[in-house]
Amino acid sequence: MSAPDRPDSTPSQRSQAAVRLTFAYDGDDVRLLSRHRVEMTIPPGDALEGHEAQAGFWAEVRGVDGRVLHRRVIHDPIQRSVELFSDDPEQTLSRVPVERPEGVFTLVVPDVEDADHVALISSGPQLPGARAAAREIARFPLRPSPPGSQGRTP
Amino acid sequence: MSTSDGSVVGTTRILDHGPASQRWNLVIMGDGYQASQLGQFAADAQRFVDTLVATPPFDGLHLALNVFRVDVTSTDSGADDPVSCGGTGILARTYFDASFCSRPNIQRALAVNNATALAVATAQVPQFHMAMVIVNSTVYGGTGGAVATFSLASGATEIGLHEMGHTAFGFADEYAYLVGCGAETDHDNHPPGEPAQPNVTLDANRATNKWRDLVAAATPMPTTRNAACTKCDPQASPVPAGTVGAFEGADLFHCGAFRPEFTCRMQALNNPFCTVCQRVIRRKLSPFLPPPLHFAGSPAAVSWGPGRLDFFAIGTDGAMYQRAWVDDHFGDWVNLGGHFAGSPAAVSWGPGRLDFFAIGTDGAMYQRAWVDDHFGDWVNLGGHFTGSPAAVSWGPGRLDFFAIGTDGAMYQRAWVDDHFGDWVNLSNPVTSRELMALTGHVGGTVPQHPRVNNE
Repeated sequence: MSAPDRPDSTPSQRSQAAVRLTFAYDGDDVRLLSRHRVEMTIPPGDALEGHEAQAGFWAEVRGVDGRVLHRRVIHDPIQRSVELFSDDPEQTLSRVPVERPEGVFTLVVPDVEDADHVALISSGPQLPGARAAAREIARFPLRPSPPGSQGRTP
Repeated sequence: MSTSDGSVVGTTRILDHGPASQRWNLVIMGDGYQASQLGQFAADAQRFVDTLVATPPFDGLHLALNVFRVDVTSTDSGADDPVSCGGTGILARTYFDASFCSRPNIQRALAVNNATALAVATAQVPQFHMAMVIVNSTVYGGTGGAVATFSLASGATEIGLHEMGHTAFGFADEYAYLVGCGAETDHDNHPPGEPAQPNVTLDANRATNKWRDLVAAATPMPTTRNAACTKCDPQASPVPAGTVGAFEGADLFHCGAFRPEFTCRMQALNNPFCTVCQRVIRRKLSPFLPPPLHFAGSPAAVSWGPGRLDFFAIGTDGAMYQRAWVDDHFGDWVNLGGHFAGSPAAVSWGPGRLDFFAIGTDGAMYQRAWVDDHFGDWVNLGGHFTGSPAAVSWGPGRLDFFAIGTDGAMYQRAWVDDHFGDWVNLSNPVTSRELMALTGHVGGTVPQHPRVNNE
């Protein structure tokens, strides 16, 4: 015996079509390894404007006309240094530079209407002295495209 | 030392607050656990979850979170521990290839194969937002990046929390050096370019600073300056802990960049997240919170003794919800399921025992109990009723509950001698049989039984 049937959950009000992108990088050379569509909720994005002179790393979902539809600031996924941890209370955190950054990371972006591609924006390694404003280092179509056309560095 | 050295056994949701498509999903994987040690991994993962949900601001946001434990076996226990870093020289055959000394000469640089870890997380929980790996070793170590990795050493769970700050919420490091204070000469002054991250800035101007709305008028801006940019600032905080201002020394540089509080989990482990970080976490997680509950009808409330309250109501989605006051605070709402009309009834015959009733949308009465520290199943008690039930107990082991049938008659049924009796129509003239039923001697044919009995 059981209570009258009831759906396990109410219909989603916030989940949306999204795309999980998995990348491999070798320095600032970023390659798209996989692209999976998934229905999920994505944290709210960051301001679409007013960041032109900023430094850091972010992803932009853009329309075919280049208009930014979604922007998300992320901690630099290109590991130019590895964070180390210590139980020494005097210095629990530190980093060690990586001579040749290579690895993988994932990114989930909304597959909003009019979305065409994802651009990765980076100001590069944080070196002493002058630092250039962030620039686009790679872009990838949000949807499958003909072989050989995925991922290009502007 | 690869995926041939173990297997993915399965995934268990160990913190469940709703559909993965609507919650923020953390995946915890284990490495260096042999099949016989998966019970220990379950305890280790649970320990991290317990820490997480007790950590501000997650303590107020836990309803936004799901946590999935992915059980992965390894051929060997532990992790590689190279002699070159002062380790034991053990080579452990593990699924994610966990190894100390992933950076030359640094034993505590414990890392796993991130590509494998991300592939497993994606396959097991496609909606995951953050992945971490607990390595079965009591030697202190860990690393960050796409996958947070940490060992079982005391305090190593802090690594997971700090890395969540980076990976999930985009925080910058707030400490004022790269390699270490006094260990470098090229991290004196921050390069130009306002950091995009929300918790560090080059702008200490009260009028334009990015977290200026959190800075009290009496707090100096900047709050501290580093008098000697060739080294880390040695001064103690001039303001009380928790004061938001602009403290020089952040984003891996001694000078030129500011952090919002003197200490923060992004500045040094074993500190709370600062106010600015907490606000960002709340903003990022608030869309994952379940919508506020709305109720129909009237609530029912009951107490089995001092310091304990339980209350029940029917949600606008038709499910019954329960919440308790225990240990001096309100617990979470518990969705008890079902699809009900009217209002619930609740009763307790003594400590540790609750019984609650409601009329289903099919007209039948349903009962469910809290006993032996868990909720039992819903029991269909049959009948065809309108309105709401009433329930009462005169002592341990005895329940009586009542409702109005669709024929307008009142019906009663009892729990006595560890079973439910029959429905009794109380609208007829009282008979000796009904008197027997009311005193616990139930059974036999009851006149004008409710028209529909779904049992």
